[in-house]
Amino acid sequence: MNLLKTSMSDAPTSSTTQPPPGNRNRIFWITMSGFGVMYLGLIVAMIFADYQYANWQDFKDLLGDPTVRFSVWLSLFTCTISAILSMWVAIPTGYVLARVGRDAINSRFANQPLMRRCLRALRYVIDTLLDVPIVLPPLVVGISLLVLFQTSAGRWLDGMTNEVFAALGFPGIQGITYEIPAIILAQFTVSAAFAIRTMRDTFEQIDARPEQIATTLGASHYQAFSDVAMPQARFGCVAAFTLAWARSLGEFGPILIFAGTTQMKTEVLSTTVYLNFQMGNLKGAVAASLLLLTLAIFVLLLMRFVALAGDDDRGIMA
Amino acid sequence: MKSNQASVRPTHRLGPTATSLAIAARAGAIPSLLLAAIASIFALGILGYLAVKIRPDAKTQKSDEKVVRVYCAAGVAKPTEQIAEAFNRLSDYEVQIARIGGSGELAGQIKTEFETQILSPAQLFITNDQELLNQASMIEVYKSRHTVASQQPAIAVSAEANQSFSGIGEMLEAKMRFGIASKRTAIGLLGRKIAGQQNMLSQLEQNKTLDAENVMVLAQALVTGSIDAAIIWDTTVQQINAQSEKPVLKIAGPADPTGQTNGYVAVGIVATSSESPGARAFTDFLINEESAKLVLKRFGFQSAIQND
Repeated sequence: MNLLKTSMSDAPTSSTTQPPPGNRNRIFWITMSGFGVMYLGLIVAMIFADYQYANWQDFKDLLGDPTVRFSVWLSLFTCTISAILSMWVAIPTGYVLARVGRDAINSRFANQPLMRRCLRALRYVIDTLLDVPIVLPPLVVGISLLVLFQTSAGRWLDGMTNEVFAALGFPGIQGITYEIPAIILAQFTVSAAFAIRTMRDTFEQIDARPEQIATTLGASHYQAFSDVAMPQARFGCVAAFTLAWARSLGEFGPILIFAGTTQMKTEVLSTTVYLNFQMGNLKGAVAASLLLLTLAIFVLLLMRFVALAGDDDRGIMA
Repeated sequence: MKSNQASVRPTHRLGPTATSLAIAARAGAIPSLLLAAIASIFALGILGYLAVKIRPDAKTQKSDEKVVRVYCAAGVAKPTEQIAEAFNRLSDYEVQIARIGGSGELAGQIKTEFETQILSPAQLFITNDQELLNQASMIEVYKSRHTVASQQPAIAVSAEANQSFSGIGEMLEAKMRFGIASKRTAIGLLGRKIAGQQNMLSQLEQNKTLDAENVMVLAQALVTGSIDAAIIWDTTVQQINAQSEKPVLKIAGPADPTGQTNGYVAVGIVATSSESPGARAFTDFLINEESAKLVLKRFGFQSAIQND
């Protein structure tokens, strides 16, 4: 009882030294948001500074240049191709990585400890290798692709591609290296790694049990994947595609090395920025950067609007 | 429920193939995932066609021998671009500037490509530093070398600044934020050589604000106001000013008080180049054609022709 009295008599004292719960919550949320707001402020300040530096006339001059218009269109086409190719690889690979995880290996090979260990090690190695394009400096990816296409297999593929394009009526496209396919390959090599990671995380978050139940009810693995897992993974697919597309748009290092920066041939928007800068045209470089930025924001918003608008929780119009 | 809503969308705007696929998908004959895969193949085909089609020369049967790929130093890129345009109009060959960068960086890449036998995209190398070609020629990286023009290292400042210097020493005494180019560039090496001759190299290295990748990066830093002065080529100032309506940079004085130090723009025909007639034709054009000389002169380059 004394204890209770003491604590009750202490209560007003403690309330005078500590802020009330409402204030504490406010402080918590302000602190937690503060870091994000600072980062957001940095991004907005950079964009604002760019818009301050380049005026409308710089934009008009830039877009009046046929080489820049070419690089805009080439960027849009190659980015979308790379993103689609990335999804072809990312969806099945992400699914396999998510479903053939540690638990699946443990349960499947419960009585074969050596096999279990080997498979787990193999899975980790594969997982790590798939992350290599993410951690490698972009220039290294470009150099590696260039070296790869100087091997006999690479040269054969280069020659074959040349023949294929000639047969399709485009003899001007001479193989892969230093040509448009090199841009796509360079973009794909990096963006696919990001897409795979996103899809793996997506499928890992989806419960595997409904798929197992579907198979026990007579569905094939393909049906379980396409009719049970994929509908649940649609937002992950949008996120992976968006990430792959955006990564491809900003790709520069591998393109510089593997595709070159020839105007009206392999010049994409990121290389337009570089070329303008190297030619001493800073305003042109800033205007091209803003064009890249505006394009990225517009397409990303459009994609999210189109793909997620119908969803109550994630849709941009929600 | 949403998928049901989606399935009642009209299909009359789709093409006949897409319509039949959509009808088959509705009837359950084609699973939606397979339909998505087919749609993505169509999309790839269309996008691939468009990506190739926008290239003006995609349908031109062009021998690789007719293309001359050039690696070009950043400091001489703008005049080279204009000269290449004039050459392409008059010649059967087509000059393409494949890379622009610091002279040392590009020379290093060509040397690596030569030593590792990687197919080099470069048939010609236009450098701000003749010495790089001389060094590489010892291991026969280049078939031939030709000096094209000369330029002088200068101290550049903002056009609005009112300083003037008689050399690097005065710039150092002014306690300004200044930049020099890296040792991988011709101007970086020359600036250090001049400072070394005046026993100011350590002072230059210690007080520099920026050590830029190449002369253009250094000049851009000066334009943005990140530094107050920079040791760059006199021709770079003209190239930068040519991009604006009014001058943004000016020369505050020579880097070398004696005015005797020059940098030489040179052309090297790469030994690994698959075909050299085109490279030779462009080199001749660059050196002998009056219109090319005029372009170089307009950017402040002095004539200095030598062949090797």
